[in-house]
Amino acid sequence: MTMSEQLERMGHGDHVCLIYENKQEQMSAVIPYVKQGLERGEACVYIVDELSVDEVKQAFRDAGVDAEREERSGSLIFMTKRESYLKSGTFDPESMIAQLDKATLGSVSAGYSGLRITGEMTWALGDCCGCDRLIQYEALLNGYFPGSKATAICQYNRNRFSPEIIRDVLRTHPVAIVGDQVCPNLYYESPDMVLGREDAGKRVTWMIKQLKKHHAAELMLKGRIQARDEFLSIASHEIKTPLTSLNFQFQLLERKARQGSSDSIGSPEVLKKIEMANRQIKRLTHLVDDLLDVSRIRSDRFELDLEQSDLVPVARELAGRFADQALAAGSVLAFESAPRVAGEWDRSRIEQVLNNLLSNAIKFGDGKPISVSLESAGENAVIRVKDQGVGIPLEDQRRIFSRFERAVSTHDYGGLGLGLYITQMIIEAHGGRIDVESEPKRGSTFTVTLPLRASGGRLAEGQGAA
Amino acid sequence: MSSTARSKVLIVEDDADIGESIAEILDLEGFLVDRARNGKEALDRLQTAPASIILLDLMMPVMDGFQFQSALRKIPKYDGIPIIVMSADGHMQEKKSRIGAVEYLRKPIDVDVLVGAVRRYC
Repeated sequence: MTMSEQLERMGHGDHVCLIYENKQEQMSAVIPYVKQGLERGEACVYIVDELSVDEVKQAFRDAGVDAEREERSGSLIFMTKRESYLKSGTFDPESMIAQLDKATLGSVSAGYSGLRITGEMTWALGDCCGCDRLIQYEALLNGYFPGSKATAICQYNRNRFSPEIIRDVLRTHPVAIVGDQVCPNLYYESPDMVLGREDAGKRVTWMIKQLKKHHAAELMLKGRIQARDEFLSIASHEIKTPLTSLNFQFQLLERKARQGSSDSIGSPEVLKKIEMANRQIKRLTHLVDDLLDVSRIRSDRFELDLEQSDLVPVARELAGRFADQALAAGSVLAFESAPRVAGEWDRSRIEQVLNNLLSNAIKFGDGKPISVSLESAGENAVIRVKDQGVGIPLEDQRRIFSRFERAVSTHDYGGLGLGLYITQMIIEAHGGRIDVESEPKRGSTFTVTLPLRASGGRLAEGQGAA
Repeated sequence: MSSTARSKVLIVEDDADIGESIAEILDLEGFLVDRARNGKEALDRLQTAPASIILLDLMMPVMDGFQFQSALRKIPKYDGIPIIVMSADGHMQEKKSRIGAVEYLRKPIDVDVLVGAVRRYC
């Protein structure tokens, strides 16, 4: 999930802390947060301290938000610590909360849907009076926020604040943004507990409740994942079983028919129909495999089966198998490779990639020569499949890798259009990349770069879930 | 490699149609075949008649492929029989090594591929 998607769930009454290590982490949470507030018609207030107003406005501009325009309209307000936290010279939690309440009510009566605040908390590092009451303030806020129309992100730079303060910040915010994760905060404690008004007995009860809650959530998630795994496994088995049966039977029939027996099986008409059935079974198998693959990718259950091996014999064998098919379409297929390209990969998946690229080259090769090359370059294996056929217009070159796109009309060439999508997923799961160079009517060259040592056997989170 | 005696293939597969098709294919190629519908039946069959090679489906009721293989391992005289695994699922390497199989065939299996694999290990 992207940051924006995670922040979608934030709304009125949320009191969030952001603990960041650098400006990039800071802005990548804060900017989408304010942007969402503006989109929701909330009055947005940004209290600057560590950064300058210009720096923050630039960050907004980079994210496509016209900060100047929003400021002019009054929906976005920039404040300094003196205009907010230290308005009266010293910091007082109770009057700060009253100020916050007044601002929220004011926004609502001015027609906004609520108040969305974020502040750079480095103001509290100064020697101002009352700064020692920061944590008390954060704890008391948790009595104010729930049920209000205000939302807040309190920004804490981990490098500027002492661990003791960060620890207490983590005790006083129900939600914590750390790195790129928006987390329900396990370490949140009620205001009474933080302010020392709670007794040990009540605290233990609360701790046990938290443990159970967390564990229950984990078990439920594991249960769902397991259910999905089982389903995929069963679906695969159930669909492949009739296909397996049909495949055996029709291949047996085809053999018998070819042996030219004198009974009706041997008639050319019957043989022809059996051949057609076999082709359809192959096609159906291919479609089912693609759908199952996409299903696994979508549910993040796409795993590689890594082993040390040499790609050269695999590629050579495939090129050999496709040579006849290519010739039937009029294309001469040339294969050249380094003597040995050894590395760690999922052999059958790489075969799948080669299969896809080669069959595309033949499909779109327009009867012109096709070349396949395999070599190692530094830490990578490089595979190139080049055809001189119809080519791909520039505007389609990215689309062809996406899940439901095909760059040709639906009447031509068959298939679900999943081949290149799956190919790209397989390559990226290996930590590699695929590039295409192409010009209409001149042909296309697909270049696959695969690290010799696979980095990870699983799709990175979010990669397949687009 | 048995050259004079005909090799016996034990087909362990719960789907009757598939089992029958495989039996027919191998019979045409000159092999002796025996069939079992699950791991337990397979162990019973092995007691009455030895096999030179086992074609093993993984997903079967009563006793599946994995359970069959670990039961087989406990019986010394069956320990050396080569096993060819047939399955609809991926994860070939992992399953192959778990079972200690010599080959893993992905369903649907081409007749040529099947016959080739059996010939290789018989």
